[in-house]
Amino acid sequence: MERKQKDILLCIQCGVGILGFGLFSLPTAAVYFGSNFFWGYIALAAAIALAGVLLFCTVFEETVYETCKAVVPRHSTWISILYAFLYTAVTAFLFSYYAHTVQNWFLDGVPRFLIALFLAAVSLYTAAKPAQDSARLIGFVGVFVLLTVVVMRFVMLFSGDVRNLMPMFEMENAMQLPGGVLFLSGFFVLVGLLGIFRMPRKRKRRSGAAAVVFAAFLFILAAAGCISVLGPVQTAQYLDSTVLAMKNLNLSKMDFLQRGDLVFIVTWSFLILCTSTLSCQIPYRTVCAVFPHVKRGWLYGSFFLLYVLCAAVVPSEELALVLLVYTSVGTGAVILIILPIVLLLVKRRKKR
Amino acid sequence: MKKLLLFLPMFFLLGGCYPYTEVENMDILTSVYVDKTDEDIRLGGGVANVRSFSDSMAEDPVSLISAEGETLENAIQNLYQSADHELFFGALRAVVVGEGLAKDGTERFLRYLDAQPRLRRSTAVFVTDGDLEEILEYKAINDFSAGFAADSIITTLYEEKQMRYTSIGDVMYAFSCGDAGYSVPHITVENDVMRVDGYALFTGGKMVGYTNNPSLLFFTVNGAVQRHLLGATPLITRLMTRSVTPEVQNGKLHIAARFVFAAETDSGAPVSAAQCKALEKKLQAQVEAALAYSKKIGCDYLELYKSRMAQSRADFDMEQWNALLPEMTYTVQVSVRAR
Amino acid sequence: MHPQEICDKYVKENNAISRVLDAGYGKIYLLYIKQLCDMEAMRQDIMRPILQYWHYLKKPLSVQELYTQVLCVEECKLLKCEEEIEPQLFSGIAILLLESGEGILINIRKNASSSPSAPELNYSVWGAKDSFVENIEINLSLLRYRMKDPRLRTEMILVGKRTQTAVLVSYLSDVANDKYVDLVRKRLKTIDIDGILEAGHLQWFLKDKKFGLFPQVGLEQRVDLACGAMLEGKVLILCEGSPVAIIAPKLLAEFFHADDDESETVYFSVFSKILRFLCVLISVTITPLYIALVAFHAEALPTAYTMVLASGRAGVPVTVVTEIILMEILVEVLRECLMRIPKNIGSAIGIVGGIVVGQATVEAGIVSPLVLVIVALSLMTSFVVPDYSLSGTVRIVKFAMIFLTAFFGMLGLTAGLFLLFGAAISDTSLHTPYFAPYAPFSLRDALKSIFTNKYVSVCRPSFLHPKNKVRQKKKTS
Repeated sequence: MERKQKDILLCIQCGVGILGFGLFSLPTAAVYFGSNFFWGYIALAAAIALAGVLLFCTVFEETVYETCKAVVPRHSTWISILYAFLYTAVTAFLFSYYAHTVQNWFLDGVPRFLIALFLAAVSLYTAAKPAQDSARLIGFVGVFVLLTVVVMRFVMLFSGDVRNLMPMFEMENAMQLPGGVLFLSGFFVLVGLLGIFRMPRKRKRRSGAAAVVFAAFLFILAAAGCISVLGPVQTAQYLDSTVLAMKNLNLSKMDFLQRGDLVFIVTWSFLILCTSTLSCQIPYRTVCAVFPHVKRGWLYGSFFLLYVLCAAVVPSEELALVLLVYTSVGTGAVILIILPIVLLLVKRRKKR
Repeated sequence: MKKLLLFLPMFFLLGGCYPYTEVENMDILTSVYVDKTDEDIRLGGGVANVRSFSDSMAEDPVSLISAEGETLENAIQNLYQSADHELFFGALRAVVVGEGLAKDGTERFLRYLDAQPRLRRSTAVFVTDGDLEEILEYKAINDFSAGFAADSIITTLYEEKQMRYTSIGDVMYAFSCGDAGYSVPHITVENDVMRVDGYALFTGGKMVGYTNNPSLLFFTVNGAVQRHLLGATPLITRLMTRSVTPEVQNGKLHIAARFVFAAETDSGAPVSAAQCKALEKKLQAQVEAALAYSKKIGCDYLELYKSRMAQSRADFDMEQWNALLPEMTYTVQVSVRAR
Repeated sequence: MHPQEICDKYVKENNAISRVLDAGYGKIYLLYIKQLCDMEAMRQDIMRPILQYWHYLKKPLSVQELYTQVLCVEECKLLKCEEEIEPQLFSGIAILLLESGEGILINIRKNASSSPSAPELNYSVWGAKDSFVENIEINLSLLRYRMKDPRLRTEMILVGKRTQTAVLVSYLSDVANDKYVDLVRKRLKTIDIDGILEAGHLQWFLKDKKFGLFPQVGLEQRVDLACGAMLEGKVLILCEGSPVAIIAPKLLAEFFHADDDESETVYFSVFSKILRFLCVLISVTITPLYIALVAFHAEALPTAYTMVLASGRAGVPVTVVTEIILMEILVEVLRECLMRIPKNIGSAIGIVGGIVVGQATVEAGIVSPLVLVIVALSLMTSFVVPDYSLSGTVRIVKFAMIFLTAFFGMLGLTAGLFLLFGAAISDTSLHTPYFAPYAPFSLRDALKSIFTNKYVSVCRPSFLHPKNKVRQKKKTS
């Protein structure tokens, strides 16, 4: 009977989103740009994302489609389709990247396209549930996932060498600040938006801000864990630094969980599924709003095919990551900065 | 439609062709060895004889496989050909490197192992000058350690803080920090008893020296423990605080090291001030000897670079660390307190 | 129609009995079905008074006189129209007809002699031992015996065009949310089917999702637990001819709740609840986990464990998935046949199936001993849940998990759990979220459902939206 979304759910969704999006490689990216000043890069990226989220919240009423309909009724359809298309591309490359990584490290026998197919099927199925239900599901699973992640990251932090995090800041590390921060904020923007796109306007700001801050904290913790175990140089060198860090662990007192692999694999799989579900939701729901008369089954099927095609085309893990990064940063910039500003200007002009 | 598409992927592989190889259908390597003899590379490993666990413990728990080749690549290829099944690296517990190859360079072999997706980076690495196969076949008394007795021994010692444990991950870490030095436990079997007798010291993947100076532990292991016999009382020292501060001025490296130990006796008898003084002297000499050896062979096996990196990573990248070592100066301050 | 024609019609078509009383003061027709009516009451309370009145008054009797002075039965009412005769006759009511066409419906229904006995399901060590029976009147009296509140509402609804089964909807009017009552009433009234024979058939019509994975209503044999559910604000549905009551809404968390928890100490009951939940998790995941470890992620275990796994499997000719499915099916067959056959043969079959077949398959080398242990553990843990209806879901879900794991290893197992949680969270029971109070999360209710005795807690669970939220007043000292 009760149907409302709580702030805490949004925080969990964003936390899951940021960890899931950069599951294997975000620490790599953060350390590649920022070295031991990675935390500052992340914090700055989060701050930019926060500004974007707040801007987004002032402009958008409900969904993008509804806002566009109110502000620029003539162009609402194509703007929404473009918006959905960008997100679809991000999601497809996300599937591709996950499929590559999972195949490389855990499921070497299973064909890559099959993993992508499976991920697309499961997450699209979950994403097509009513919005409240999928939010609750991700909230419920997310609590356990985040708790495990936090615990495991602390274990990593202290089983490695904490000296690796030192010194916290050096002038040389601030050289790549603009590029690095822009890059990282792309991820934040993307996941910052995942949850709030259907929230009532009043609560958006507070919840959105809390979620971004929470996600930044998790991101810093994740990167710190990796660096502590691998050292900054290795973290930046290897593409899947998180997996590599896990393979270094040896918790001799933990009996059959000595290697921690099982816990990691379960947590990662949940993270992957949650993130891809979150990411599938936005284009799916937007297209549903634009074409209310088209049968859901057809929409579902066409999205499914699109994802799998895009995921299967990408030949290598590096390329998948590069494509994911460019599309996500691009999408982030369009959605959080360009689109709201344009709409805001149009709105102002109309008022006059 | 939705449910149909959900279950679609599952029908792809129906009919029993599941995409996996079960663990019993693979050769489970518990340890591998590699050495260089004259011109050939000799490569081998202990494969767990899984039948022996269920049938009877009397049967030999490990079967050895081996292969030779002119180059490392050839040897690896020959090893694969001589194995009955696919080789499974996931259960590997010990990598034993012969001194012959160690002096020639181990980096390629270790990097090859590291690239195996199923391998644990926490696998222990050893160096030996003895018979490699003997080490692999060695079985610790009352221990379930088919083929990885060396790992069991070093783990036990490491947990008691009496030895250093070097894993593939540690070696890779050292590789990633330029040609920084690292130490690997040196293991031998004498009179049918396996023991770790010291450390092989590496720089840039090549063995450049050997030491059995236990003060290596003070630089690399927190809470390191050492046993001493002074007069009639056996004394135990435990490292309480450590401060290693490298300073680079005008291209000269200076190390200021300070250690604080707590001493106690096994029997619980009080440790006298005189004993503390004697211990201080002894430990001071040990540490200075370790630093002097590092300076002599130009290998940073004491991992001083980690302290330097923690101070300033950017400066470390600029400096030629290995070139600084032969010129380094140091001051050591050791104090021992009764516990 | 003349009374004689009516009587002839039912006598001819439906084997009814028609008795005509005639003492020269006008005929009285009695129409009834012998099997459904109490013959002693017919003789003593209907026929005898009529004949005696005629004997002493020596005049015809009007319908009003019969109704008010003559008939000695507790429940009777005047016949309004001829169409009323048919349904009443077949529900065990005797029809008294006068030549004038007027008539009286007289309730002399024969009560089935079944008396409350100990329940077979929901058995508890400390709890009450009486349970519902097939007779709806006795069931109602059992409810009234426990619940003396005048606000206990009972509504009778007839369901089934042919069976005309009486369904009793019972709730506390000042506690149960009106939406639940309305929903139940609406769903029962819209049933258009020829017959409902037991509560199990009826629950199909009360479900929110017809093909949901989880049981969406509760089946309850024990009267005290049924009353407990009403006190929480739920609706109880009793079906004539069925010794089981339906409780709606029923949520997932409640399946883990056993009645004995309230009789034990808090620590033990919390321990039991957590144990039950873990058992369900183990039951669903242990066999897939074994497949994942043997086939996909052997490196995730320490070396010694990997070697033990491998040594167990060494020599088994079939693949691990086939091995597991083979054993699971064997166990399912055993379970299914033990459930249907008489108890005294059951133990013999149990020995043959469990010990002989199990031992023999291991010795023959078809399966490894470890698999036998795992499958047995999985079977045992699936029956730990106090409410039997959930264990079917658990067992069927396990097969899906096995297939998913066979293709995608741990990723498949995790995806299976993800979908399972998704199904549980998106399900509803009478439009109440099935996974409440965990999703949507309510800290107070979640803590209460684990740590407190629900029958003595201060408030009723908020996710049931009861009209009266407070069960007991807090002590003010």
